[in-house]
Amino acid sequence: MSAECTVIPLRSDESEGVSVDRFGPPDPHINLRIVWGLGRWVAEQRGAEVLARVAAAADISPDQLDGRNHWVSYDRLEAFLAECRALMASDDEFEDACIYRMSEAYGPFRFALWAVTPRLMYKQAVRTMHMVSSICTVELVAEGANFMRVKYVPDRPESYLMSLSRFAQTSAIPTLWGLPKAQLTVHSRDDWGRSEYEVKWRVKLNWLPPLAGATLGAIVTAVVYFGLLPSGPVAWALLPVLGAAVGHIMDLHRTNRLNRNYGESQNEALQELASAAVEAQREILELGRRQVQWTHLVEEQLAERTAGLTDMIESLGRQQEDRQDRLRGMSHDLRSPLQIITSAVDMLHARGDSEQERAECIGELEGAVTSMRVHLDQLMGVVVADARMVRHTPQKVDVAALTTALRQRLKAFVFDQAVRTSVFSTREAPDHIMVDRLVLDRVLDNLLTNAAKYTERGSILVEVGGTPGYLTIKVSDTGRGIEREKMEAIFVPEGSDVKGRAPRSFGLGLSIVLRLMGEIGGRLEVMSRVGRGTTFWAHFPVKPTEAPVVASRSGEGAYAELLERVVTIRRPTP
Amino acid sequence: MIQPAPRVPPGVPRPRVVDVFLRYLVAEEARVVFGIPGGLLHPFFEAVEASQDLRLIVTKHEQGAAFMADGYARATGRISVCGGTSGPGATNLLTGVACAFADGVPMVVVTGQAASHALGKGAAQETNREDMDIVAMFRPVTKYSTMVTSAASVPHHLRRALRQALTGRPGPVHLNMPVDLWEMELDGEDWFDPDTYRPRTTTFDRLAVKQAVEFLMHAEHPVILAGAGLRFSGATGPLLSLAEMLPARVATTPRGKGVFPEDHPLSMGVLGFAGHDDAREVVLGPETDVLLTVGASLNETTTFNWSPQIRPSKALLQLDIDADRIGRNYPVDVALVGDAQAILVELAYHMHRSLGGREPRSRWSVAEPLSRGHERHDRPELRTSDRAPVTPQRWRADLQEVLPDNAIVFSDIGGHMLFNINHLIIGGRQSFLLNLGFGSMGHGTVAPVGAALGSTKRPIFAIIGDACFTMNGLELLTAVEYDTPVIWVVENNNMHGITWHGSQLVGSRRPLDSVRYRRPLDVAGMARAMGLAAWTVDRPGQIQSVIREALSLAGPSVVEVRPDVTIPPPIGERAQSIAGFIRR
Repeated sequence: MSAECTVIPLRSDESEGVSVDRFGPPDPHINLRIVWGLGRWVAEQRGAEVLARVAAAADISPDQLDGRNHWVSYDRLEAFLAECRALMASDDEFEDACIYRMSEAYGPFRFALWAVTPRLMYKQAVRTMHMVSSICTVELVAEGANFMRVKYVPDRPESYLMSLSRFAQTSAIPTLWGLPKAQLTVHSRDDWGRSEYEVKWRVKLNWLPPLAGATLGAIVTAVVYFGLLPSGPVAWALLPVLGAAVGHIMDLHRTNRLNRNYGESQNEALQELASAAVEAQREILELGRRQVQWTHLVEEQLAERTAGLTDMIESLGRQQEDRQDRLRGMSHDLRSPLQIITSAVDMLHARGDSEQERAECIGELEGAVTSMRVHLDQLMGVVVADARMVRHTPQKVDVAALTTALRQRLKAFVFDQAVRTSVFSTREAPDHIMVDRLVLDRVLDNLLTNAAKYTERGSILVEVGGTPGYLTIKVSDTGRGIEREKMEAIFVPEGSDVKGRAPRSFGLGLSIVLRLMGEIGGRLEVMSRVGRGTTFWAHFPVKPTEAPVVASRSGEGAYAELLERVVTIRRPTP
Repeated sequence: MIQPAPRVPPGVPRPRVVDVFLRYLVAEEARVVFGIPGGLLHPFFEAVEASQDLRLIVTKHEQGAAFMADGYARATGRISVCGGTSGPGATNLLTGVACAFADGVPMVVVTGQAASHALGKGAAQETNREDMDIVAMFRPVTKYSTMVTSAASVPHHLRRALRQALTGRPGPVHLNMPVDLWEMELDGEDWFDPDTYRPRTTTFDRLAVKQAVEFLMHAEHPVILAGAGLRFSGATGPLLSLAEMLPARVATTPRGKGVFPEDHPLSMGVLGFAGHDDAREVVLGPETDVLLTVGASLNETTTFNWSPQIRPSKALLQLDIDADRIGRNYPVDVALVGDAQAILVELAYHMHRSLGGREPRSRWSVAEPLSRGHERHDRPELRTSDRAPVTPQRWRADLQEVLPDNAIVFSDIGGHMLFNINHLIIGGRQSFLLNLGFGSMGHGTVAPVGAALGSTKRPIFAIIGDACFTMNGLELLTAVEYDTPVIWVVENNNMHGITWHGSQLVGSRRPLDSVRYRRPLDVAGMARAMGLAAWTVDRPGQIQSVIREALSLAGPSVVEVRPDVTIPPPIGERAQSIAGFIRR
């Protein structure tokens, strides 16, 4: 650590009983833009190949060190810091590298710095910590005109290098104003990374306005009281000049105040943007969580279904044996009435003159025919049951809340894209619907992410409405559109053209949407024009349908049947 | 589905007129009937009380019944029902019905009448067409007014009335029923499903929509003026989407306050009566090139006495469900006649398609920002003033801190109304309801009771003046009897404030001292006597804790505010126009 940082022994009472096994899967919790300077140092002092090697060792891409928002896991950042430190001779050199070209990292904002002060900057850094890390908290313990004491608590253990990097950047903030580095005193730091530290900086004295005022005052005094100026045209000329100077200084003061206000308002705007970015990140993480949840559910149901199928196969085998036994029995049963019919016909031929005998024979014939009919009905009785029953758990979903959620989700999906979004509901929308929430989310996530993926510019509009018995959600985009001849293929697994798919798309989404909508009794409509965009309508029944809707065949035939039943392709209006 | 009236088999009880009547009301989602039972309407009220689907609310005055029915419909968006017996029971409803008519509120008004065989003979409280013609009295303030003369024609007239009430611009309808008709039996039920006698009025002119979109897309400073007509249409969502898409700055009329969230960055607040400077400067200024009005009639209170500067430089687009309002006060370039939601949805969709990948031309994002914080209000320094008694501006700023974000706020008529329009910020989930069409004092005092009976999940506030309280305040007894949780905030300046302050601006400019009360009014005391919880506030910073306490009680309560009476409300152009009327 540098000479300005004084380390005082640890305070570790809060570290007891804490497990370090909280890493879990590598969630992205820290923003790589905080190490932009370090990356530049490695690239410029050691070369681009070294940077690429160091980045690869930490499992990040050199492109992610471009100073923009790239969220990675703590593990990767720690690995990157360790790799970089290994290139350097000392901790001092590491700290200097962490603040390399620091002012450039602030971009155009550095030109507005003169409207704020180091104190304001430090306070902003505390308030916007969530822009660079989502698993730590920073608490302002005390502050004054030229110092600030802060308590920093990460949610997971972090290395000494991570702390060193933070301390270096924190103490370097006053350099943005051309002031010397702040003195940073670390009062405590434990192995977990929790620390309490204080920064003290030099306050810049703005001596120019008082000096200008004093000089002007002296001049005016001299003119008025000591008559230094000759009377006449010189006096007439000088006084307006003095007045102009006073006015100019007053105008400078006004400009300074305006620019300070501007700087503060820009700060607020940046903070709002940062909040929007964090919110978008949360929505993306939620989408990932819903995807994982869906996958787990599918896996569970698949396992259940496999077990069920095994039982069913055994049961079918037993039924088959039963059927064969019954068929053998029926064959014998059928021969009996047939024998009776044959005998009765022979009797009619042999002794059919008597009315009574004819009646007896006809009676026996009728009895035999009835018996045959019964046996045939039993033979023809078929249990129709399709083993592919899909289990859904409908629950009450509030449509107003759903509309709000869709608005937030869509904004997150198009974050950082030049795409406008509009989500609203109409009075035709029902107040709530009964539907399996996972199915609803799956279908809507698919439609919204598709719209976001395939729309590079323009807008996406979502209308939440209804028709009798249905909640209708319309998603309309100004994306690339779908060729008419491919409209059906997009619903078939891997049916969409590989070239036409967005990156990281496997062409499975809409086939799943189709199957799910078929299972819950929903419908889909689609209309598209190449170069203009696409509109999907998803109609969800307000109440679950009475019987599950399933495909009667498997394979391509099943999808064709589903397609015909569930999807309507609209022709675009001219 | 149309079901022809089946003949009722012998032995099966035949439906009575009153049963069929109530069945139609329930099918149209009416759930509450407000009124005062009387002899000549007794069978109707008796059946309502016995009904499982309807609730009878007996008020203290028929005017209160009409006001409550109006409040119920405004808050729920559903049709309401009120009734009064013959004679004065019917005429007492008139003012409330006129309020509903002026503001387009759907309501069924049922009045009693002497038995059909006694008409013209001088029956008690008879109001037939040959003498005191009650049907004619209601005709100017309803969309349909008739006396039903036979039992068999009751379903026909009722369907016609409901159709009128709920299609086009909604409004009240009146049915005068001779008392002997109710118990008469009908041969068949003569039942029509609601969808079969009421057409959907969501049609629109697609060409006009395209023309409007062309103007809006190419506008550099588009502005939307949103009126109260948006409320019943449920068009607030599409309006917000269209405004953000353009982007367009949005102002509302005084009556339409709150249909666009006033805490939105695009909101300019209210244009007109007691409105905000931003709205006035932008709408009347030279920058606005395209103005789209939605559900706004461009009347006196919105347009600063029909200022010619309202007309924008390029195009005026007017959207209204009532064709009679199109071009009534200003010539329009594109007329959009139809349901506001349907047309705004279509505008938004068409705009989204027409823009495609292009950016809109609107330059509002680089224009000077709108005023925010206290600066956007009249006399902002009084919003933070600590002086006592509390200023009207300050206590409203304090109230804002604790107003629930889904509150329904009613205002009555008077000086307090002007402060309410200017100083309350109505956010996205809040509503502000004001009967400015007819402007009847007492409406804002009583209508909240009806709203609370219909909209049980949202907190209801009524910010009224003492003069309105004294006019119709006894209806607070009804609120106590039915335990309706309304919080009345009564600004008590012991006078008709708007008249007293306004009198110094018109005519001889001599203050009209007669409107000041001769004895001080104890509003909180009166409220306690009626059984409400009540508090008195006269200092800044007091009202917040009182409102929190009132909300926690979840029952009817009154907060009396005693403000600085010397501070005039933002009367503005209203005084000038009155002065102009008097001079003429």
